[in-house]
Amino acid sequence: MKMEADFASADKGRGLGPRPLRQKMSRMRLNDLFAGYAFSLPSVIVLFVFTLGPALAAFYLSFFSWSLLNHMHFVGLSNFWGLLHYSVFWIAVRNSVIFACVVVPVQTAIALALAVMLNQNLPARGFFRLAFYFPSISSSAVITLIFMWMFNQLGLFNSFLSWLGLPQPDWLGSPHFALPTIMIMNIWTTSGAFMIIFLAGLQGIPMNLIEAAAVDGATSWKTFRNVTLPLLRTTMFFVVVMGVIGTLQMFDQSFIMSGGTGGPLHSTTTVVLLIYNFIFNYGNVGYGAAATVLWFIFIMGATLATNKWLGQSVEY
Amino acid sequence: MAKQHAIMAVGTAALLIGGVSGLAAGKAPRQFVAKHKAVTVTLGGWAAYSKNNVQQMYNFLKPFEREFPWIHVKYLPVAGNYETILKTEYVAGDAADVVALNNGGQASPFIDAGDVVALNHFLAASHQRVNNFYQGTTSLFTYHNQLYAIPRDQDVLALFYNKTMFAKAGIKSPPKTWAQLATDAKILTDAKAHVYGLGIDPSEAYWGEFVIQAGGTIFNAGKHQMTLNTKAALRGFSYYVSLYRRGIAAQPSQVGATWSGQSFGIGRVAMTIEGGWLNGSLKQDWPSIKYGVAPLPKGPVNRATLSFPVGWAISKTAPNKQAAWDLVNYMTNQGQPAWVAGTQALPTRPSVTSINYFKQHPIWKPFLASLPVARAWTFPNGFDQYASTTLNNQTLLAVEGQESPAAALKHLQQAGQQVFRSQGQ
Repeated sequence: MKMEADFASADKGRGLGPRPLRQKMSRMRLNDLFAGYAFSLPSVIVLFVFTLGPALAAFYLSFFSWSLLNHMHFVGLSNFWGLLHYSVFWIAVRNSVIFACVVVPVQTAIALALAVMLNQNLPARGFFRLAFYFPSISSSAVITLIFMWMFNQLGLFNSFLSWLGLPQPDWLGSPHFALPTIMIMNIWTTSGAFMIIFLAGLQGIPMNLIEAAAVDGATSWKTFRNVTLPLLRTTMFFVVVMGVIGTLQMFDQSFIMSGGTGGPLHSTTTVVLLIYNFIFNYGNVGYGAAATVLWFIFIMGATLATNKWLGQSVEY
Repeated sequence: MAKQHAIMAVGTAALLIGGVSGLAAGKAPRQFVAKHKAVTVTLGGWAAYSKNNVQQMYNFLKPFEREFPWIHVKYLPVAGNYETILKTEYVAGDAADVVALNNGGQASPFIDAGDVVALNHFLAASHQRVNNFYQGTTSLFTYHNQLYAIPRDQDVLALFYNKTMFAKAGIKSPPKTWAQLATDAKILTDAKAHVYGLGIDPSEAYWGEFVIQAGGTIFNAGKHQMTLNTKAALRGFSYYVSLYRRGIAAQPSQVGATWSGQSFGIGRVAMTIEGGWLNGSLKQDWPSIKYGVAPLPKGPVNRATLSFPVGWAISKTAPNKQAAWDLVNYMTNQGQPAWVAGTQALPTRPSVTSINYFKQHPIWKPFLASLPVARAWTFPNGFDQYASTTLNNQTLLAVEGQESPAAALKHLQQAGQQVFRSQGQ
């Protein structure tokens, strides 16, 4: 922050002060600039080589037919055309969108509820914060394996359902329940991480506003609804955007649960899993790259829409 | 590192000099890559990367390096998704000189792309013939009459049965025919207790053998036509589906398992059809199960089983192919007895079936007896998606009764022919 302020004053000072000072200032400014770029260079290189480079390569590859092992040749837009007429791609899009539409609202609501609860002066508050946060720092591969054990036909969860006298579906083997199982798992894992972010947001709310509302006679629900929630808008924006991006890019849990196939009957095929399979298993890099490009556009659209909805901060 | 680089440089130089002078003299380069010039051959292949595995490979290779002291082998195992990683290695040009090629359609993409070289003339120069190996193993690596990998080992499907459950049900011996298999499975099933007579995976690697037993095939001999539209194929597939539809066979997920070996290990199914790999899993994870193994029951036409061979191939990029061949030839020839005993796999040469290891371990007897009737489980190039998705989906639909066996086979036939058409065949 301070650096920015210095730059700003240096900019304003340009052309006003006496000559020697101006020269000195600009030399200082150059030094600052140099130091700034030098310090950020490693990250910029990493960004270009490992993130932007491959991303640009995906755009490039989407115009080629290539199986990884043969010679690639230019095919224009035919990968996109083929992809849009490929039924499994639309199944994957539907799965990913349903997944995001269910998981994002539920996990955001749960995370917010947990954060509000743990923001009170409860006994063993630290313990609960840790307990709820713990799943999100565990490896998602391990959690998937544990869930597969809990949710199998004769597993813990079904034993519980049978004790309650409820029907016991084949959570992992049935095309109707495989994706919901992953949703449950995903909500459970990520809610804790977003809870921490909401907690930070809650602690940033000035107490005097809450107290003022109390003095005005607002009930705690009204305070929450009209003071706390609007002030959490920027936090909410962050949580929803990260949630949307994260759920639309879900890959690992589907991959592990279905053994990489996206089965049973394509029910856990997400767009990113399909992209992986196109490129590394089906020998169709062009389709994978084309799907990557389309999915990039879709996610960017979803993010911009969220920005329009939640992006502006609220001032009191 | 520096030393290895030096050796590699020397090796490359030796190859260049040998190659040039070999051409000049009109002789095979072998004589000129003087036996005393050191070369390094890199060896790939799948292995869970542990110190133990690596050490096991080096121990296995010690006699080779004694016999060929000028060849140094550097083992570079790949852990995880082997074929995926191998593809990226070929793209990057840093695949090992000698690589393992797998069954189940995983070999054909590399052979088709020309990443590995044909080995027939090497085989002939070493005074060996293709029929020193089981036909069920070499067929997997043969394209246009050329052999692209030498089968190093294989595994075949057999019938595992739970002796305790058999004794309790009063069944004396494992079933020998399709009819007996169904009868025994029915007796052994107690659906209320989630116990089933037979546990099989709903996938083609587990029903292909029924089609062959009924006299059918999946592909024609040249692997350029689907042959699932025959009466025999339908007969085999219908029998397999009927086992589930009658409730006497269970998918792994029905009994809370991820594969049928696990269903068997946790005692939820009395019989399963699995490969010899299950012996190792049972010993390690479910040691209390008392079980026996028998060859698969005979079908109405054939005795048959599926084989899962793995072969060693030589990369096109290998700088010294003769040295690579010496290694491949050693591992699949003199080295095979030690290899199959060490890795608990089945041999690819009929001559190796009589070694002491198998006499001392009679559990392998039913597997060895199945080798002559084993057919390799494989797909032509371009069938990756078909093998991993289409086949499984149609199998599942049929097994769950959402589609008739005939309709499922019709879909599979059409989808397969579609793949061939898209390749212009």
